[in-house]
Amino acid sequence: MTKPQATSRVLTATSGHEGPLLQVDDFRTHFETPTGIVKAVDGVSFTLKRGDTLGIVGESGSGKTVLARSVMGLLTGKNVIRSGSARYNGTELVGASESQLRDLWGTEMAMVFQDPMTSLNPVLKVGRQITEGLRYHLKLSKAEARAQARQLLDSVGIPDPNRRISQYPHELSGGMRQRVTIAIALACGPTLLFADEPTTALDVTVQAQILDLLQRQQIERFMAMVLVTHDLGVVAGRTDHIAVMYAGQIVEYAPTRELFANVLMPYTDALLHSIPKLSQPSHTRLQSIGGRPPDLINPPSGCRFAPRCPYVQPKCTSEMPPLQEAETPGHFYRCWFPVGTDAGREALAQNAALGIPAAVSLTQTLADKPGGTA
Amino acid sequence: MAGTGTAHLRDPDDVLMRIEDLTVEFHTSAGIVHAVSGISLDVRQGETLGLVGESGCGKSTTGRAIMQLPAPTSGRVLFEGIDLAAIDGKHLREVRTRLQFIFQDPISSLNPRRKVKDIVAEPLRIWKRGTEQERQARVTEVLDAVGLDPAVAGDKRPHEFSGGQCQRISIARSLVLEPKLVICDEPVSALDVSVQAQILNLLEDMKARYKITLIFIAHDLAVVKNISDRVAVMYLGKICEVGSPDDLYATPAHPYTAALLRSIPVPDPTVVPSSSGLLLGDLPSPIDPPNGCRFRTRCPAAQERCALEEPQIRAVAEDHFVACHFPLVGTTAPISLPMPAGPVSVPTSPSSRTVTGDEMGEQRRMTGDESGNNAGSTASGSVLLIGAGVTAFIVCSIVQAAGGSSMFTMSFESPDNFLLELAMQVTFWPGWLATVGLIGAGVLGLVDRDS
Repeated sequence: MTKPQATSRVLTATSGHEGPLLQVDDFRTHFETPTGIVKAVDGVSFTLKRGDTLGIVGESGSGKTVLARSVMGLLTGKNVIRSGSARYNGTELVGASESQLRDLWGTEMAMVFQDPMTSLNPVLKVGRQITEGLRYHLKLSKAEARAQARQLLDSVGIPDPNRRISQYPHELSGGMRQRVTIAIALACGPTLLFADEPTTALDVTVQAQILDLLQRQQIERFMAMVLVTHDLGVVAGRTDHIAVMYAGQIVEYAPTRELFANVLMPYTDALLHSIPKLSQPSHTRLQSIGGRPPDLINPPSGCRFAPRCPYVQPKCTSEMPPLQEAETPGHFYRCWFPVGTDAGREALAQNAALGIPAAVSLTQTLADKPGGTA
Repeated sequence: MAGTGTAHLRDPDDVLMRIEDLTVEFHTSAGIVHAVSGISLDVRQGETLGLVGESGCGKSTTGRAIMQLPAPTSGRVLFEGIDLAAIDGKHLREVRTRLQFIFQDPISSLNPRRKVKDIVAEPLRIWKRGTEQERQARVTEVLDAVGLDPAVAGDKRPHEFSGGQCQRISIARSLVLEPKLVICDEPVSALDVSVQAQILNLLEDMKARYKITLIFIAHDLAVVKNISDRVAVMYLGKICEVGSPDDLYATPAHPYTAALLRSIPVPDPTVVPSSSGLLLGDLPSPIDPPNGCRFRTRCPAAQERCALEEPQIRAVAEDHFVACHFPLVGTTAPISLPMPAGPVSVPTSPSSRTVTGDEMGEQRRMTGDESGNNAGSTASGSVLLIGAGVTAFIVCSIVQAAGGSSMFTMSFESPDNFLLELAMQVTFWPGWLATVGLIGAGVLGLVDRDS
């Protein structure tokens, strides 16, 4: 199996007989800036079936938000260069005209944005913002749209929809506003929902409510959902597959349970180790990731995580590892010396012997906690 | 959750800082915001106190009130035995050198036009500590301690650094004066998880190296557990629960703490998120907080008592304190207010709030013998007023008679004595009015008491 083709196996591995709803292949989004071309999304491939949830996880600057917005065609700046392919139900989205996309937005695919205060129009009443799509796409009359909006507010768990429908966004709490943006996104019955950090601006108790609501709506409407977040905890219990992004690339892609049970990519492993967990006793030393994400104008020539990786070997800095499939079908990773394999253990031991601080501390952590993540 | 009380406080001689009955209120056009309502806390030397709660619970306001930014509405903040709320500005500035603050947003809390070494050296310059060489040496040492290369970083400006590095600079600036207590207000919430771990580790290292005491304010329960020696959970301006992190997280006693812990997403796919036991609704408005326990409107275990009586903080286990009538650990709180005899609907919705408020008022009226005392004082006041009125009548009559006129008829046949005429003029109408007014008020007072 030659390496570049490996990505296309993601397609076959997850697309059922009914064909994927969303098929993204070698998708790239670059931004022209005065200092150079920023490769925000650089060769991403995945597929999504109807009814499935894909979690996209990564730190800020990893390209996860750009990926979601650019697949939907929301990035329309003159400096945006999109290439590759993103097909929704067979319709190519890359290069589609704005009027073609406008017919898809709302009715076929919709997005819930991160900050409910800025994504709602502060000078329009809630009802007007929900009915806008209903009137435009579904050609409903004013009264029908309003009745529908009331029903939507009710279904997203807003008490007293008759009163709320004629209120302005500032009169609602953060959680309520996010419920309204969800109602707007669901108004025209989309089959694909992008949720871009939908709970990051909310408190934990409200976050749990909103995630529950999204999950319930997804099941009821049999939608596909792309859940973009930086929080591994959010995706762990609520997704079917997870794609971990780093520096514009997918570095690991697997069914959710498989990913947590059997981490292969050192970056995912490091991310899991760096989160403080409730199950750990107080004052547990956290395994931090040294350094910072690479410059996306001139990314490292080899593996993009190599400069921060405790497993790094000379090969990593010269050759970019392909996204290859593991022994477990459907689990893809981008690493020469994966975690938990003999090659990985050897590389780590070698680095620890050389006294590379990241490797030394990781070795200690693994020794303290036999079994580790592997 | 609305807990007041001081059961969780330790020996005042044993603590570095002690807050007593701290209240912070903000006057807005919509009404008074009760941001922090009578909380008490203390921190021992070398301890890390974690303050945790949802946004709007008053945790940041508490941190700022300790620094007197702004000064609390009432209550005492004792730092090394000095009440910060009572001392003057000059003295407070001096105390603040030992009391430092790290802000949430590392980028906006640094002056973008200054070089890093100047930002870090500024506190030393203001306080004229050492010579210029000594100051530079100190800046170099602190920058090195927080993991920045002083030779490279010193001449750069904040925009050349990432968020995590800016937070390191903030930490260096707060440490340069060798403070005793550092208050960290959400120091890692603006950072990515990988950087968050670096900063948390750094704070632990700095604590060990410089022997500082930390107050760590955050909304992330896992982060707070990781760094704290003692955790206080806040809700709507009150303290719910205080305890050591391992105890408090393993066996939460307050229903709010338990609900918070349940709503945290766990990075483990085998744990299926359940929607049972999650809190419904949003935080009530701090302008009109619920009476009794402030958490009762969202509490799954709320009972009528929770609306009538505010729970007091009490111990449920060793070094584990809770402000709840019906805690999940330990026993139900002893009743301190008599309960109404008849059945009362369980007040869990804001609409029932007014009803229960009235009932509570009635309780007070029936139980307090202070009402009797009040009536007694009214009676003696009335008698005094009548006495004063009679006196005024007598005085006026004497003056008028001396001037050859009576209380009711003014004679303008001028007396020879100028002073007597003046006294007559002054006492005629006012004297009459005072007489009637005082006697009238006194009689009304007596009638009111009798009824």
